Amino acid sequence: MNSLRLILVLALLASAAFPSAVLCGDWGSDWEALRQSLSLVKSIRTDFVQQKNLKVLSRPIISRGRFFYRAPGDIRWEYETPIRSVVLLHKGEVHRYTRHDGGEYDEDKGPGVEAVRLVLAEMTHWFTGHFEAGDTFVPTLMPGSPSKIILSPRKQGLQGFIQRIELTLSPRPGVLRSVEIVESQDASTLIEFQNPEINPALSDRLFERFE
Amino acid sequence: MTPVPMQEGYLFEQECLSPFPTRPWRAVHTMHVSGPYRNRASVVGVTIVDPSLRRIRATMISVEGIVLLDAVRQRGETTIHRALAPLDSPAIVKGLFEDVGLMFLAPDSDPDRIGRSEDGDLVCRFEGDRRGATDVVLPREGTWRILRYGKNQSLEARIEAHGTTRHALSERMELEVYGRGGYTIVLNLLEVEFLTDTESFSVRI
Repeated sequence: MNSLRLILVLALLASAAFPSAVLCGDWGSDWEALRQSLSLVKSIRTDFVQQKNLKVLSRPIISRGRFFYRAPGDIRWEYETPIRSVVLLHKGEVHRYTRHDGGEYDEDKGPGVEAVRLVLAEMTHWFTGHFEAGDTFVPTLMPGSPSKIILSPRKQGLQGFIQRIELTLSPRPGVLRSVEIVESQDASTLIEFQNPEINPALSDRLFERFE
Repeated sequence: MTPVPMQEGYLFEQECLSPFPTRPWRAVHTMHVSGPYRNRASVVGVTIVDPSLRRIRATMISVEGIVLLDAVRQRGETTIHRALAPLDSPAIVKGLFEDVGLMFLAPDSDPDRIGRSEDGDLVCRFEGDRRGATDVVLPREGTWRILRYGKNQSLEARIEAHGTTRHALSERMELEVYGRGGYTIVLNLLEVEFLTDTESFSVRI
């Protein structure tokens, strides 16, 4: 279960788009600059494209969707293709809904849901830049062009399921370019964010139910 | 079932096996599973089949991109490369491969009987499996079916397959397993391709 937690934490974390903020200098140069940038973000709306890479595939499986965050702890992680799915975190509660075979949305209690519940709660630490606050990963900041944050599992047992997560920062302050979850040398997930909006007005409705 | 004339039976044997590709292939599906008490789950499935070896590699991926299961089964032997709860149960994995094998592998014997139903559908019955019998039902056009019977002749599972791609794989397949703990799986094909010998070896299917 712990392993599952970690994996889902990573997956959900990977889908998070970090907000943009006005910041002088290189916001990825150190943790303090990072936190300053992120602290100005109250909400996010972004599109994403997810590539699932497997050694057994000749080309990645492509998924698309949108991600929403509203401080201090509301998340809506929405997939549009190839399976329509919505994960909601609101008032500390997590629910996943999937459009089953083109029909109506139904709550999905399938594999991974329990871990999603635990992971989303931890993920909220990251939007404030306090990566070290989570108990799952050890963060390492690698300033550069682009700057990266490497998240490594704290517990050795988890390393059998996830080797690391790489967050690539955009040159634009506070904006995340991509997240890559490396499960093994044969499997990884790359999520690239597109058209991020920082501090848009997001209604309660977005997080209270799916549509 | 009205048997076809014996001298014509051999002409239909190949048709009985026509729903099952004979070359190694790889496909990606969305999989929607419905179980008891409205338990539902949706994942993306990658299936690699080598019919000549009767070998299947199944990889199941959550919507969020997490590999939930990666396993290989060949002639009763299962190798699990990765499995997350609850798919780390050997019983669940075994059941999964039985389902996948029923859908994608031709019965491992020649048909014992071939005939026509009242509707004129070609029915091929395979009785070589000690667990029961399997009917492959091929209408003149439209949906084809697989019916799996237990030793007591009760219907254990039913598969309906809709549409056919140029690779002879159905665009949509619906599996219904009956009995206590019954469930349904709906597969919608996203992509499929045949594998070269080099690819088959490289993916270690």
